[in-house]
Amino acid sequence: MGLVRYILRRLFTIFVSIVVVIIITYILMWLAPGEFFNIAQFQASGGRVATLTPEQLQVLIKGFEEKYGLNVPLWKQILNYLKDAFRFKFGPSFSNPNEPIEVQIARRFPVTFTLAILSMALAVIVGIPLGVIAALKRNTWVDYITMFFSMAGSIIPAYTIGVIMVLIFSVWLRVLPTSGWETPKQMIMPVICVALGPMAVIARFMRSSLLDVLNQDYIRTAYAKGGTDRAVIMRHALRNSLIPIVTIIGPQLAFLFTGTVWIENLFRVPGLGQLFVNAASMRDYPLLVTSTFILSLSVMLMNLLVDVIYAFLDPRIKYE
Amino acid sequence: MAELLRVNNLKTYFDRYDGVVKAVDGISYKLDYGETLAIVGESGSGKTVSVLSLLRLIKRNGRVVDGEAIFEGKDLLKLSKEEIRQIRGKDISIVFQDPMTSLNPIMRVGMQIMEPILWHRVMSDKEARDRAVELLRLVGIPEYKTRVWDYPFQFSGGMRQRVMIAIALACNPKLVIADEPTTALDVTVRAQILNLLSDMKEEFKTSVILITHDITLAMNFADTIMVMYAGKIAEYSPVERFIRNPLHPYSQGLISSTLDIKAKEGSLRPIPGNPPSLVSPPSGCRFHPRCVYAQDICREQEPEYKEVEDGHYVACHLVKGGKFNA
Amino acid sequence: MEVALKQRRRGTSYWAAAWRRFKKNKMAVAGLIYIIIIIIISIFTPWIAPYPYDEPHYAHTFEKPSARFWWGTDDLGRDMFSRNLYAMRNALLIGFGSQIVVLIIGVIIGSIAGFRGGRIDTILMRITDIMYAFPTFLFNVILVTVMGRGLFTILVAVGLTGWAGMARLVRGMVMYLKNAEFVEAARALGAKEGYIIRKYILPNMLGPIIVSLAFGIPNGIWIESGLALIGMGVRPPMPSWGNMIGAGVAYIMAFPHMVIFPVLTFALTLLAFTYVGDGLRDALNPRSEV
Repeated sequence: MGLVRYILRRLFTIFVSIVVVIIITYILMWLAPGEFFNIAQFQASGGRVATLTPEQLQVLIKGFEEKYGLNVPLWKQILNYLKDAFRFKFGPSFSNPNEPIEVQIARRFPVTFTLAILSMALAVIVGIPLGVIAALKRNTWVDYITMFFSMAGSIIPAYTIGVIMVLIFSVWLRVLPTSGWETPKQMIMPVICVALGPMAVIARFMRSSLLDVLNQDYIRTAYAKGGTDRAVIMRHALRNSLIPIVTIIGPQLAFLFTGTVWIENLFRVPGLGQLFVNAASMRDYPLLVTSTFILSLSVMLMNLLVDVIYAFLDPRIKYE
Repeated sequence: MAELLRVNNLKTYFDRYDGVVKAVDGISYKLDYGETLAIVGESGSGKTVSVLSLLRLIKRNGRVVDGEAIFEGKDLLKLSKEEIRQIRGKDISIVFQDPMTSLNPIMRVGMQIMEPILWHRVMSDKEARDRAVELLRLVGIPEYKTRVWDYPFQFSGGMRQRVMIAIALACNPKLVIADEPTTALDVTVRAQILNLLSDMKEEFKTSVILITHDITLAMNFADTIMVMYAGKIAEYSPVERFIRNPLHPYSQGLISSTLDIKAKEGSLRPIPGNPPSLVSPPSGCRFHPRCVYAQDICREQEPEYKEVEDGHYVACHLVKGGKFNA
Repeated sequence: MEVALKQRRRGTSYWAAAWRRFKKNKMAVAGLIYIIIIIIISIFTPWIAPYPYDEPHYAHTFEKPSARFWWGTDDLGRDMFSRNLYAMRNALLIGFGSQIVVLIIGVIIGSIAGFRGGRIDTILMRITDIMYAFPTFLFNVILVTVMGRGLFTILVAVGLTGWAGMARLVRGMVMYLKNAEFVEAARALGAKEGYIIRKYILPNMLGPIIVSLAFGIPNGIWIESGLALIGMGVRPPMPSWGNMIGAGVAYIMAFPHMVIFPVLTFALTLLAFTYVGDGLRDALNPRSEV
């Protein structure tokens, strides 16, 4: 089957890309000033570095390097990492030496996943009808207002919108809590904030896609066949204009995953984002590399999934 | 023969950034049951707009400003949105110019043929399926039984135009409008499509309006010829009379500009000049800037569209007593 | 020769027509005026700002806006208005600076790939594809971790992660233009390759490149604030919108003024740049004339 071969070939490309990405990341970190140990020494020694003799320090460093597999040449480190990474074994992080990274991720992943899926669902459920309405009511005030908010929503960062929402709903109206992730009420603002950007992009794209399709000859054919507005739009225009939407949902999902980093930070949601923020601010290299690995992998797999769905929706596409 | 359609003083204008385009500016004609009318003209002469106006299928910036179109006793231009919808595809159907873009790319052709049948509730779903297969057989698609569930991209241009014809015939319409049905096709398949249209016309006993820029094709195919120039009718005539005695200088130009292998060398004369702007058309007769016979009156006064012989109408100052005098 | 001349003459009227089209877009013009004003303010910030950005007034912490401190003060009693001016200046530096980096890398890689073609093209485009698929923001974090949190290193990092789109754009245009008819005509007339690049190819590429840069600037500002929010932006006490918003959020319930002003100026600036980008795209894209 063409599809299977196509997917296998794409998976191979993804594999190569990830390997390159990880190599680059490792080289960059190797170039970074300071040794790995210096960065995590406080965790390793419990802040007693200053009181240690040089010999004791040497022992400590050695133990540290052994624990994190840093006592071998760089190429071997990369190889070891990749071998384990593709089996989803990432070893311990600097900041949390007693727990393998995959366990830390497994604990936090469901939170981020829920946030991302709820947001994407909201973005699609609201974004597509908004785009359709704007297109059908083009050049009316409905269109202008929708498109203004869509413009604002797609360029003002989610975090900024989050701050504005907190000001309105928590500070002034006092109807929603500012943080947490236990009750549905706490989830409202984070989900809306993460959803707004993709929602705006989807609405804008849907509008132009539908306008483009409405100008096609086959729409005129459908009307000439005696179709009602409803039949022509539902059966011909919408289906055709939805196909390109699938292609932007992929990149938007990637975008959305990055967006959750700040929103989780703002609303104190215990997801992957906080793990990542800690990794960055504490120079936790194993965790940073693994974040890169996970994020690149999910983005590329998502794009592959989107392309396969696209091919299913559009009979003209062949897996070349 | 009884009258199927009568159009009186139809005017369709388009609003554009540089002014109002008078695409169709007061045309009147009639069409009988079973008759084939060919509308001939250059691109931009308003021939397509004049028929799309009947079904109110013109673009959003266009509007029918005046006139009536009596189809079986009903004025198409005054019907409600729902009433006109019930006529589209059922009583009057259209075969569009470009079969590559006129079919929905992601819908199986069988479904596209079934749609008008189901939309007009002519028959049940099951019967409509059989009907779609039968229509594909009629329009000459090989292996029609399996092809009916293929997508348009799996068909060649000529085959797609056959599908378009099948769609047009789905509800046994009284009138089929064919808008340059062969222009977008390869030269080799044009004849096949025209033959198919001819056969289908016999088979279904429909009236046909054929829009074309090819006067030879029109003369071969039609019972009546209507020549349009710059949104107006230049000449309207039964085809025998038109071939024998084309009266309007523009009609004469059209005929002499087509290649006739029997003609003497040097008799192939293109019409000089370009079609006029429809935002600010020329004064008087709209053809006068390109007319080799133009006189003062042609520049000043618009010619009257009048019957010069039985069923033969012309708009030209120089036609007097059924003859062209220059 | 005539063809070539016509193309060049069209060049000048092209910019005039583009400007006419741009002027018709009210939002874009408003955005442009706003941007010009903030650029002028940014140049003279040290003279305009009423206080140094890092001068604390411990007797006046968390003060609401007043005649003395127009936009209030923060947790250390620093003047919010002055800090906002410096933050704006830093944002513009990073926005424009990063796009210079993008321009240099993107044009070099894109034109080499486009002109040379073949193996070099394949290799460069593979690298570009990987860059494109790579989660940009993560790469930024790693780069900043490696290079440090200075204003300059941040703008370089933003540039280093943002050039893939520009490289693709330039490559595509070079591939098209090097075989375009008016270039062939000039070549047939004996014009040298260098002359063709300077006089024909570069001027025709300018429009799309400018549009791409115009959208890149707010993106750069956006990335910097994103970095600052997770503690990877410019080092305090140097203010940036990101770290001001991040700091303000901590006191949002009690002292909302600490976050309102940075959020509003930040959002307004992004909107202004995007409207200008929109206006430029419509003005410089000949298709928009239809």
